[in-house]
Amino acid sequence: MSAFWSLVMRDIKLAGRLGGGPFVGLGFFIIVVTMVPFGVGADLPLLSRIGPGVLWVAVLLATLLSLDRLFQADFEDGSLDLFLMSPLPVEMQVLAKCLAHWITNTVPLIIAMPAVAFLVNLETGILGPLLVSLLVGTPSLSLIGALGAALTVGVRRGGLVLSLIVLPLYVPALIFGAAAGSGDLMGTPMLFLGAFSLASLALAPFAAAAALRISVS
Amino acid sequence: MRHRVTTILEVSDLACQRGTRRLFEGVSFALGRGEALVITGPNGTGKSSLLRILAGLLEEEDGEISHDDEMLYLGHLDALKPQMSVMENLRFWVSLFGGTGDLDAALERFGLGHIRDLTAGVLSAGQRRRLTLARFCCFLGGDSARPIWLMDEPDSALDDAGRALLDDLLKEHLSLGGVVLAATHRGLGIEAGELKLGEVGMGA
Amino acid sequence: MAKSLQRFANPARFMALSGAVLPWAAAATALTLSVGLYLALVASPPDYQQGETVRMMYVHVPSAWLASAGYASMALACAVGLIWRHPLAFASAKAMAPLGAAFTFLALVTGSLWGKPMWGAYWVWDARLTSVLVLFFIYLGYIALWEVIEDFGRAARATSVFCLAGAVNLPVIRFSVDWWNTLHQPASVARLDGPAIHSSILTPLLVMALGFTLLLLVLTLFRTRTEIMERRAASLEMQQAQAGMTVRAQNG
Repeated sequence: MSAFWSLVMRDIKLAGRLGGGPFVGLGFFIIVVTMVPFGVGADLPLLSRIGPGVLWVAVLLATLLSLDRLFQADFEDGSLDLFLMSPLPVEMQVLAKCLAHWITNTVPLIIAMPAVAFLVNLETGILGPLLVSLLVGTPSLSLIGALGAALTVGVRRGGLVLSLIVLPLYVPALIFGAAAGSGDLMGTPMLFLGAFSLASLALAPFAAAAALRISVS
Repeated sequence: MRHRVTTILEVSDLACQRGTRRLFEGVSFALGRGEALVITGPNGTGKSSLLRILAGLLEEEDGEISHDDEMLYLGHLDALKPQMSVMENLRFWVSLFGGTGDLDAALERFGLGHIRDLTAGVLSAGQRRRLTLARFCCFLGGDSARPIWLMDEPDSALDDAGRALLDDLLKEHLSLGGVVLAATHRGLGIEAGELKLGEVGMGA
Repeated sequence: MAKSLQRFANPARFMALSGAVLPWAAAATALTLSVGLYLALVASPPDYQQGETVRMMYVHVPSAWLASAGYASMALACAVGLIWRHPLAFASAKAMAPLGAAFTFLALVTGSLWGKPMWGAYWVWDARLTSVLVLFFIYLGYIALWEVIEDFGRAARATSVFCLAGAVNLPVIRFSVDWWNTLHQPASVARLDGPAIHSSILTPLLVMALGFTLLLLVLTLFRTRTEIMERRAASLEMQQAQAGMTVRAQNG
């Protein structure tokens, strides 16, 4: 198995074997969504209108919470040192870890979405665009998040600072994602969202790789 | 009298700075195929830093390093995942570094064959060290993918039997034309030059 | 040639030069700001529509300019630092950050106060102020990274990578916020623009802008010097501790 896929499979395996697997993130996601009606009232038309935005924010927060573990364990047990010496370029390794992170953290949320959508009274026609917007946009969250995780690995209060530095960078994804999730499938926001994800795919691995080298030295 | 063959690792005038401390400077040596260097010195004199600089993990303050061949690094930490089995850990690292070879034989060689499917979390410190060493079996010799071995206290946590296995591994690697640089407190059972840190301007 | 930021311990030329320049620059700043404030608060005419509150513009607009210009300068310094490893570059970026953040905050507050009479609310999520708010968070993130990373060398490079990532993302953020604003606020909200450009408006504006720019530069210079002196002090302390502790291993 190529080095790239070994890394992807390893991270997926570890995510599955480490306390809770996808269920902890999923639980958090559902609870956050549940909080919203408690906060704004069980006004069904209102929930319906803010639904896509609320679901996007909840996905964003759930992703954020899982990021500080992305490189932490590898940093602590010396794996990161070895990663930096591997013949597989560090940028590719970042991509591999982002892919594994996306599969294990975000995809379960997307799969659970149809069930959760009821909580915000999401219109049935909207579910499709919402799911597509998440599929298109959430990879950028893992990629940009990897940069934040790489910068703050091993740092005290790292999780907090990670959130602080990553959230502003998430703004375009959230704006376009929520808009795409409430509208038509091939409309402007979806295209911008796709462009944003592609741009992060092109740029984030390099920045994150540089950040990893900095964090280790 | 040792006849020096083609040098495959050369270091000249290397200096290391950590924050405001200059750990060492003026370090120079050259190693050819089949040669080994043992790095000794009290704690805090930069043995680990020297290895990390050579490995490319740390930037040198001054000096030049040149090598054509790839390196394999063994640090203080074992880089093992407790949730993965002994074999899974070994297979992952060998795969990530593009190594080839019989993984089961490597485990057998280090006395871990009987526990290949046990999770690494239950291993003793000595067993963990052996598992970390086992991966080197797939990169033996001067023609392997990783002929230069950088090892930071490879003998730590090893009992006498473990140390004998380590010495055998290193001897085999050297006899096949590989290169070994090891930081150690106790010394290794191989023929090697010595670099003593803790004094300025030391050379092999 | 030393590669590490240890060179940082004594950039004598910079200290000498900046020490000589600083008093003059400070005087120029004080002068420009006084003139600017006089022109802005006293000499320039009130707006026929907004009345006296338009004077807020003379603080808001230059602040907003400096918020962005400051960040751009930081990004440039960070790039220089990463490429040429010059420790002075990292120090000046670190020094400028809180100042840029302060101007950003000032822009937000004055923008909010200026907008209240027009909009009826202190914050209406208009595109420009919202972008400035996100910029403010990015400044805070940069400063926070410096605070939590203990090793100076690592902090310098990590914060620089983040600063550049922010610089690349900022145009995208601005674009997305502008787009978002048109989506949810179709009714045109009065923009925080001054009235049509007229010399009686332009002159105080430019003088204020110049004054603020000088202020930023003077304060940054000052803070950079302080940063260097702090690093020097830390270095000396470490060396003292070293001398007390080091056991010179004798070659036996």
